[in-house]
Amino acid sequence: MTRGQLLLERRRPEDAAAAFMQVLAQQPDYTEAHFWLALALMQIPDRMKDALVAIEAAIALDPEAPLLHAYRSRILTILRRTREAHQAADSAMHLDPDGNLAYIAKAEVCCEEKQWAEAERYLLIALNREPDDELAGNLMAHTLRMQGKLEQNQATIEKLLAEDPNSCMGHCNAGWSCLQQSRYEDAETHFAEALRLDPEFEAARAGLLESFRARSPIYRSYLKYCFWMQRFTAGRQFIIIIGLIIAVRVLREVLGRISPLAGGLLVFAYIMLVLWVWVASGIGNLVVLCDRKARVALNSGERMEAICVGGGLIAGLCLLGAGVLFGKTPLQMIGITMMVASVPGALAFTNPSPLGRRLFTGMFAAGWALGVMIALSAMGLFEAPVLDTLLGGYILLCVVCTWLGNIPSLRRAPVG
Amino acid sequence: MENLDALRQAVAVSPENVPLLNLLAAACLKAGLGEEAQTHFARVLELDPSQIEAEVGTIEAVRRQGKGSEAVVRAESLCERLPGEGRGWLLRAKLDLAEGAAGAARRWYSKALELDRGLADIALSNEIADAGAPVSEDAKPAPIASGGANAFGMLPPGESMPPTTTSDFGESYRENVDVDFKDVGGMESVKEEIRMKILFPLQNRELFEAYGKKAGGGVLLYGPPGCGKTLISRATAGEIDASFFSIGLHQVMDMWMGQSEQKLHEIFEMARRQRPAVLFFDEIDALAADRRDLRTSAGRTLINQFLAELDGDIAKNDDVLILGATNAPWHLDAAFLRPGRFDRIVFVPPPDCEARAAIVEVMAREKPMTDLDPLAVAKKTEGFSGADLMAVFDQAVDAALEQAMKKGKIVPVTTKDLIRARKSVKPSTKKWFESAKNYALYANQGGLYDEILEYLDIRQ
Repeated sequence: MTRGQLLLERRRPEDAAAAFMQVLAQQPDYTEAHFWLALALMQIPDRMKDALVAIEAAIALDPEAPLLHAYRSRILTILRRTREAHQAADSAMHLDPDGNLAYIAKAEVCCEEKQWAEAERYLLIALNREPDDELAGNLMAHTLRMQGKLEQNQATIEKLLAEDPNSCMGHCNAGWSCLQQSRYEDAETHFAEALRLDPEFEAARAGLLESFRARSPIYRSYLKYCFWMQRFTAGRQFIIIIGLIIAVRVLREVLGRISPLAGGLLVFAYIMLVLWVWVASGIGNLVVLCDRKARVALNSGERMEAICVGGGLIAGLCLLGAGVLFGKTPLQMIGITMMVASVPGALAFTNPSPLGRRLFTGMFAAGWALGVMIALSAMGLFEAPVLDTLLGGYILLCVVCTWLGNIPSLRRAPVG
Repeated sequence: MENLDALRQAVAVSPENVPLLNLLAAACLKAGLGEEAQTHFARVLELDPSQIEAEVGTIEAVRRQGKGSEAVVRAESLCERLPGEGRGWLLRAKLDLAEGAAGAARRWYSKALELDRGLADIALSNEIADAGAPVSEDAKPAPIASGGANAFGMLPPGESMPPTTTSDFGESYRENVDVDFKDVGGMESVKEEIRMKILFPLQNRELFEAYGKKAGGGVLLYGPPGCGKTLISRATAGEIDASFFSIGLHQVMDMWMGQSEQKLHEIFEMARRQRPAVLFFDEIDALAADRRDLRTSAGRTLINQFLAELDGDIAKNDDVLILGATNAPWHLDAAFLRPGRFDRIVFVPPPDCEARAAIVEVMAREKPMTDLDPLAVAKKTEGFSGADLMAVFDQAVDAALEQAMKKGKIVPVTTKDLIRARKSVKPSTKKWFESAKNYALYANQGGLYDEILEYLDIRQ
């Protein structure tokens, strides 16, 4: 057991798991070994389901241990099985009403469900019991920011950093808080510090990238929209989007009766807004890519997104403009194809879901293939009489894509 | 004693629980209750005769009761019945040593280690050596370089070697080095760096000392896994004609308080006795982990011990070159990178084209090959480590074997087969560089990882 624990703290979870399994081979009813095995497995990629099996074996041996239920809840949260995670956290709270880990576990499930107010309530209890708990403190800062309670969020972060100036999570939280308050340079400083402390902290890298993107004023407006939307649960966000669609349709009808041009402009503005929401990240990455110092922060997927989505959209816009200016229909068609293809493109290169990545990359490639066909046809090298129909179909496909993009399994990394 | 009572009560409730009985017997043994231990072990063997632990425990219990002859007879019987069981031989070594038969003890101890290296027992090994067990030929110090003095400019080792030089403990870590830089294909830049940072200072000791610099000391090799850090370390030892000791994490880490530190000290002592020596620590990031990551004070004590050994506080490390290899230099405690410790850092990148071609040639030996073009394979395997190339070969050989079984005759592996197999193997170094890039970009204090940035062609 001790050997396993020593290995675990030396970042050797695989070896530690093997050591705990060795203990279990001798003593299969050793609760502590099952628990430590679960902790080790939690740190190995793609072994979360095995960690669940291990923690459940520990619970079977000692069903009255609140710590085990709290960890079961945390594992289930990571596995996105939130209903069971709630039950496990409730069991932990019931078994040890005075402990704080159960409340943190409960808050984590609430955070996963974007129930920020609920999460805050449980974290308050946890922090009342253990005011110096770093995890609870950081979660609290996060939930406060998500609710737009920026003053309280700032106070929590200041307390966290005063207690531990070398807390990478604290600096990361501070960075996001600054970003939400439009203090972009401060955000950059905090994210850089968080990354200095833990260069593999992905949330900090993503934050640093956002602060680089925010160097572009146009991207800042998108960030503000994102921060506003994130206050709501997924369900409410969906209602807002549906509400916006209905409002645009009603307004178009009303405006169309007064002036058809005004109605058309409204629809155009709406389409541009939708397009912008989808491609903003690609444009932001293009901005970063053009910055010699900042571009190193991009990973290969983000670079591809910058080139194919950001670059593709701008090239498409230029071709569309040139087509209109010179009255060349094929140029307009290629421009439109490249512009709409940037919607699936935005979901292709940085998508953590393998299925989503394959699907949207296929859609993006189909768009560019269509663009090539139009170009070849215009040069007389290719006979394709139904190109305009194909373009219409492709635009429709990209509209469908905006709906598919809201399906979580096509946007999130698989867990297990 | 409270534990013992608790175990007794538990056994009373569950008298046929073998693991519990084993635990109780071991606890009795530890408490010096040999007779009771023997009774419990006997019960274990009644319930499950295949329990070697209980057999060994019984002999130990008998020995503790002062019945040496009975213990010897039982141990001989165990070794006869189960000659592949190292613990039996280890026990025989202890018993023979107690009887004053150091030579036999040494033989049995060697036999035990042959069967299971994990049975290394420093105290026993030293006791055998102190008892004057004969020195075996292969345990003698490394040969002296031409001209009477070796590359370290040391006196012939035999003159200053204490008798414990040949302890079996050392033998379990010692490797015969039969490679030097000529045997390492490619990697010219790494070799040149090692020549300048390690070999030249050792071969020109006076020159260095004139500038107030010391030769020897610690060198850290880092890079992606499977890229030849161990090989280049062995070759370095071969270049300076020194004894080479390879130490892994599992050989040092011990669950008992203070034992890891003791083992580490013994390892350094062993190298000091057999100088000139190269002490190679694989996966050094685990042994020299960042103290902020360690929850237990025991872990920190081991690190303090390691630092003290490196500094030469306990004994001088003259002519002992300490090499550390790691895939994760960023997890090392910063104290290890200070001057006088691992202050020379060498980046070992994935093998270059020439090195890959050499690896392919080596791997192709003793396999039915036809039309082998190592360079063509090397060109198609950019970013592949030695381990990845091994996987390519495995895939190609499996495919050829399948064909051979269908046709009933040997089907040779071709260059095309290797290139085809390459498509199904992803270079493992890619993932390493993804992590390394982050450290090089965001935590590159003092330009520690500049070579990674250079390799990735990133200019900040």
